[in-house]
Amino acid sequence: MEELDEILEEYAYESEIFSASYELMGQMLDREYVKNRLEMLELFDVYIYGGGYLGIQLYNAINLFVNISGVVDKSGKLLLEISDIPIIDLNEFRSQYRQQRVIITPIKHYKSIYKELSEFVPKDKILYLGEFLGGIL
Amino acid sequence: MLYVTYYDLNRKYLVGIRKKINAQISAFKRIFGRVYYTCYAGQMLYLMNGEQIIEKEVAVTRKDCNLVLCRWVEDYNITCTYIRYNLANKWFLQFLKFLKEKQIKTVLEIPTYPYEHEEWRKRVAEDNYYRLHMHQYLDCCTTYSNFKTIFDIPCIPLINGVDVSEHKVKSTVRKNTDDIVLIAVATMRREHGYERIIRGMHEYYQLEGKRKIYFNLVGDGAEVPYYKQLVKEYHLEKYVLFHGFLQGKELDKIYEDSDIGIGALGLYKSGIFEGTGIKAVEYCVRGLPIIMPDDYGFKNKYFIFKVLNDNTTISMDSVIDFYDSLQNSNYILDCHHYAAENYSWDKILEPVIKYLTTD
Repeated sequence: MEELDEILEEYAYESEIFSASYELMGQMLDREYVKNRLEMLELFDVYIYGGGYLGIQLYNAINLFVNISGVVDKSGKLLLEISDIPIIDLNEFRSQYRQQRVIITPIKHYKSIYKELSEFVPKDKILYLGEFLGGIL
Repeated sequence: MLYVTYYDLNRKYLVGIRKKINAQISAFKRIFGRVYYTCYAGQMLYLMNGEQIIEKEVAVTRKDCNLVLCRWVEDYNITCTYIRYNLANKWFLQFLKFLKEKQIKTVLEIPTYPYEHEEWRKRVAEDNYYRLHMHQYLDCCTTYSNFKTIFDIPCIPLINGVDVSEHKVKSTVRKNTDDIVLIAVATMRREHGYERIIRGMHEYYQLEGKRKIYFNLVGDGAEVPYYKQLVKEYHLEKYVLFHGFLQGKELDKIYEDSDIGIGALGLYKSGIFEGTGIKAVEYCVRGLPIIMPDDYGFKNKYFIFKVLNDNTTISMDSVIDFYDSLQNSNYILDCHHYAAENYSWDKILEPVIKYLTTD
């Protein structure tokens, strides 16, 4: 019974992650809303952390409005092959980082990424994707 | 003290709930001193004190929320909590268990009960299961209708209150009482049932009613297209006016030019038969008489016109009779004083505060 409970808990957790990702994907389709959020948060020059679907979607959503210094992924690759999105790995990011804001897109690994980034990125420069899209200002 | 909510209180459509929560917090502050509250926005949980963000943490899942809440309760030496219910689940139950183990006195507010037919209700089976276990960890809940227990938890019935200082009392009485202006300020959900008024106006004007009756609808929401369609179908564009979301001076102005407030007339759709809506109290504190389907909290008050809690059309002739019956009284001040005396949150929350402060 306890084992079943654990399995159910895992499924519930996964389904909440998926539904949260879906919500973020949807919010990023609203260009005007995204533009407003960029203005309200005074974001002009950013890095996107995460080369997964959310990272790519964010790139497409904000590319017209701000300067994106780069998309960072530990693997140094995007999940999809898109040649015009600049992608760098963590080492390269560490060497070129100059106080820009960083938006973290992977939901599940947010905490470990935050920990890793906060070794060289000031905490107030790190933003979670959900916070960018709907957090309290 | 910690007031727990799981809402994004900055959302426009939650303006009423936000006002209510702020007013409750103000009342709690007068007793407990510092009162933190939580809200949930952008998949993050925020710990707030007034407008100030004390802490924020990414909490994508309900499990994350539970962990964050437990940590804040410990870090901030919370001694009692007031939780606005947002359906039961495993992690919420764990949070309640944690509070009980830490001997933190807790009151659960169930804002709407019963809520089986409410549209916002998600994960029905999960809630049905876990809510039956909440009584193991809770000794007190509150709601806005007359129940002694809910899910086997002893219940303190409350009425909806109002922050009197937030609402400007109507300063003028219409000179030409031939015209009657109705007003509904709401988030326009199906439970508001304003089609009953629109249908009534249609019948009235079809029978060539002599007096002019207008209806101000203030607010955005899912039912607006339906109301607009009815208004178009009945050719009432001149008489039913849609103002969208208004606040501050613009809202004051519309109130100033209105004579009767319309409460939620579609409560029967959710299986609710008793309870005071926030709006009814707000109308009252502004000095407006009210049309509503129950007089819970307003028993035998001459400025309340009680109508049936069903889908019947509201007769405009009866509205006219009601309005005319008020004309020899000082109903604006009577409404305001009654609301101010009976609906201040300090007074309403007295039994809750007593529970939280008694060993």
